[in-house]
Amino acid sequence: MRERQGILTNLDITVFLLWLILTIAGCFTVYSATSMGESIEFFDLSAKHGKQLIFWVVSLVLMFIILSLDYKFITRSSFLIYGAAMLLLLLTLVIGAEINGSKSWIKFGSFQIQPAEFAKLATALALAKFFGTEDKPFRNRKNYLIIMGIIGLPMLLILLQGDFGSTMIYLILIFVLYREGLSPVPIYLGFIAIAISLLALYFGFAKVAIGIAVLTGILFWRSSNKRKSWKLLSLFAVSGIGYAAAVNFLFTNVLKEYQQDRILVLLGMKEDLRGVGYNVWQSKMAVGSGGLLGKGFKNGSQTQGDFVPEVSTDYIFASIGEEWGFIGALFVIGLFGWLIYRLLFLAERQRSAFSRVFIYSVACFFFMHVFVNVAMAIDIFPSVGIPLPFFSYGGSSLLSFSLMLAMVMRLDAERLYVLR
Amino acid sequence: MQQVDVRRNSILGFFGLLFFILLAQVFYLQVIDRDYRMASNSISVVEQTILPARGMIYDRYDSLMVYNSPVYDIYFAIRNVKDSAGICDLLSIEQDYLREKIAEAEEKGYYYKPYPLVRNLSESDFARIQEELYRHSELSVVTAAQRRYNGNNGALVLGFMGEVNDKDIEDSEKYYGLGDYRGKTGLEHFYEDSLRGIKGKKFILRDKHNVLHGSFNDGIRDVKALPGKNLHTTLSKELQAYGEKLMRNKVGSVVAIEPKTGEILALISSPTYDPNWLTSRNRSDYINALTQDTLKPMFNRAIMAEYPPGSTFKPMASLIALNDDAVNINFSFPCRGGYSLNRGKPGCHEHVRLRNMADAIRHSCNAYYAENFRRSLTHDKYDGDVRAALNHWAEDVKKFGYRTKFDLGIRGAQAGFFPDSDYYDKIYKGWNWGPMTIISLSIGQGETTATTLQMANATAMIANKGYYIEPHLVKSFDDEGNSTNVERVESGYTPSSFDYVIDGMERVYIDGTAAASKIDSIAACGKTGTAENPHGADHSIFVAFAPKDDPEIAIAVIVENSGYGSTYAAPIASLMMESYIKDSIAPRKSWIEQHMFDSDLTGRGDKDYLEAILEETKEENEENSSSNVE
Repeated sequence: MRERQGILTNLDITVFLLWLILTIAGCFTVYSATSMGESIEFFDLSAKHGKQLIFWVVSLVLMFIILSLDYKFITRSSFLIYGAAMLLLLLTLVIGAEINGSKSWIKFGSFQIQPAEFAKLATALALAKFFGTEDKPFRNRKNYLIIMGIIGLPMLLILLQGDFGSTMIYLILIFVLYREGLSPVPIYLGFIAIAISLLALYFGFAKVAIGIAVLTGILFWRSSNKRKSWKLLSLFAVSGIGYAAAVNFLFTNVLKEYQQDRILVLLGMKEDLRGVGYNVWQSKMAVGSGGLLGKGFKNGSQTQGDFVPEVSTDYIFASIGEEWGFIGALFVIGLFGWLIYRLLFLAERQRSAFSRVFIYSVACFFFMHVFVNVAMAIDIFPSVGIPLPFFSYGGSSLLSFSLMLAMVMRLDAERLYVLR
Repeated sequence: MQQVDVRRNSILGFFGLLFFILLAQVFYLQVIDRDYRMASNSISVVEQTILPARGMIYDRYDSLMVYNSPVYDIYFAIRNVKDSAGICDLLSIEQDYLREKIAEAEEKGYYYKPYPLVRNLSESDFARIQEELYRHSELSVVTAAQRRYNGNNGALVLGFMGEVNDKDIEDSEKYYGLGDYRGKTGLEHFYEDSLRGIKGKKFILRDKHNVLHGSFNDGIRDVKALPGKNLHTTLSKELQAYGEKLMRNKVGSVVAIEPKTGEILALISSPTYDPNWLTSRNRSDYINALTQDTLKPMFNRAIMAEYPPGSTFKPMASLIALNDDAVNINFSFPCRGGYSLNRGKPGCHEHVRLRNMADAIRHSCNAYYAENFRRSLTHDKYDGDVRAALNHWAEDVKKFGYRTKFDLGIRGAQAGFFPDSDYYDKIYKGWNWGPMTIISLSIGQGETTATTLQMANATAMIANKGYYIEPHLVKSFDDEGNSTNVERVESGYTPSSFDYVIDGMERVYIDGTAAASKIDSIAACGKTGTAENPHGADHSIFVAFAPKDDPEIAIAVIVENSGYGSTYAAPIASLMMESYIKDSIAPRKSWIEQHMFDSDLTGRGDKDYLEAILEETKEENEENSSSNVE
């Protein structure tokens, strides 16, 4: 066993510097996006960006605490943290405050926290813990159920809160499972499911059902081994048609009207610039009007003019795009790309399954957040309302993502001393 | 299980692909597609126009004639109108008017953009509604400037302002915007570009609530407005006003010129109107009334109406014949109540026997001038070629500014007419025509016509003894010195010939046809005229200048349908000259002045103009409808 060295010696400085740049850029963006063309003191702690600054300091302190803790604290308390997070999610359903149609916040005086943000960290820990203790995680049905449970429980609780966006984020963990040995078939099925969903929404159930029937018919006619393919194809046809029916049912009966509208607008099936499409249109126009070089800090006329709804949270990318142009957008997306690449790199070099799964999960969460957030700001994804890490205004999100990175760095610093 | 590498790379590839799609779409939106930039600029940045102060207009003595006064325009956004009855109450407008405006705005696509609803509210009107305005978020106020006329004179010279039409906007390459005002007639129109200045621009950040947040981007794109230049006219405000007062309730025109400079001192067309009427709130009522009026107050008689100059042509006829050596100053011709060589045509009035040319001018003898003209046309040097001789006359009258269109910067100036040989060849189609056929030209009748301006100008030529300066209305723009280039036109006649003619014109005042209008202590020279008018009573014409030795003013007055030149035209011209030179009227003549003020040839009296016109048109309509019934 190697001799232990100070934590700072083995700290992955790249991740830390990326965190530093992104969070500082984030604070400035929130400052600009909330000032609405008026000059406010940057260090005004009562303003939104001031609160963000406080959370930044809190994050920094907590990150140092985590880095100075024994790594075993992280591995051992994983389920405890997971359990606490789930309780918090349950509590939110009971005493949560309803904002923008979802009951996702718990108020503490003037601050409010969003437990769903921390639930991602907890889920990553729990998933890592399970894979860390199981040599062959996919060996039996029980393990599958445990994995589905770990991921499914927070999804269910968050969906009950009415936060469809945050629920959807968890789907990205399928890639972690795939990395750990899950058959790629579920991913293929996932893509087929997405395709069927889109087609069902676009063309209606009847046409899709006929389409699936015809397709399977052709496949059966063309297949060389009809005895063998008969079962598989009929299964495909029945489940596909059933799924299309389910999609239609879910769409009309489970999704709230504003969510339906957002999807319809995105699919180009509904044109409503004054209604639901207004947000997207305004955001798209803000980004588009930024041009190559942008309009300059605090000079974005769309975002400063308060035309873009939720510009400091869900649509913060509109502010980046408008004020810093394509150069700024490239910079931000590039840094996130670098961070995610770095995380995947770190994950792969871990000796313990715990560290690897945890870091993979964190990387996937980052990816999903950045992709969905930017994609909805430029109108290639439905507006589901999830934050851009480090940029969107909100202490819970900043804190949760910072802690994830702190844990990643802590685990990575320990990698050489961990026995496989 | 697949290889770990494959799995890791698939994930990396998948993530990379999606990020690439993001960047590609961002790049497309920001760099390739320009629509968003344009849309953004029209939504969140308001371009406010800063209207420059329009140049003021002064008279020759720097007395203010036209200035600007603040007014308030109310604009409205039609899609935000909630309480239409409330708006009508507040602004005291009719529901129909509001509906009309909404339809207009809709047609032009002004849904949320403010569209002008009520314009030119005075400060007191605005004060009345100001407190209630906040209740109507659909209304917005724009402070504007309205033209005001100091005094109420010179309406047709100064012209009026009006809202730009689509063509104006197009012609100005979009300098003007909807609802802008520009000069529509007169000097306001002609010198629009100098008077209006240049608009400024201010870019202001607007939020989604339509609240403005001050300068956008620290105002780097803002442009300051450049104020318009002040215009100094050649008019004498006092003389213009005095002349308009004398011409009240008469139809006709007056033009007064300073001979040495060609500067127009007064340009009057009567009946006229108060220019302030056309900036008032019931502007359209006035415009309707003015255009319907049978006396045509919008028609500038001073430059647009062509009259036969009548006997006022005689001094010119003498000068042309003298300088052509057709006659000499001592030539005389026996008048027997008419031109004996042409069976008594043209006829003449009773007067003493003529001894020379000066007597002919003094008594305005028609027979003399007929012979004067005949001798000229049959002069030896033309070898019996009457055509060439007539063309020589046509050229010579041009030297006096006849057959010339003077561009004063007011639209509609006419050139008048004097026929040449081609004209008669065409009329008589090969028939032989000779001096006797066209003898009425000799006394300023027949085909001869001139505008009041031309008659005044020809008089200035005589006063100057041989030249005139192209008449004009503008002295200068602010500090720019004399910016208008004016032409000096020479007659080429001998100065002595002018002396004889002027002596004759002086006798007109001393003991001739205008003796009754004599001016105390000023040697004035004049010539009466009576233009035969096929439509009614003769027009009274008078041309004059004074003082004889150093002329300060040359004037032409026409009073339509009022008889001999000595009845109205001569007294009015004389009073104006006396007032201009001496600044006062001799007490001896105040009864004439009063008589001129009081004379009412139109029968309108002191009635309010709008009421009078409305009454008249109403009567007319009633007559029409009753005649229809029959």
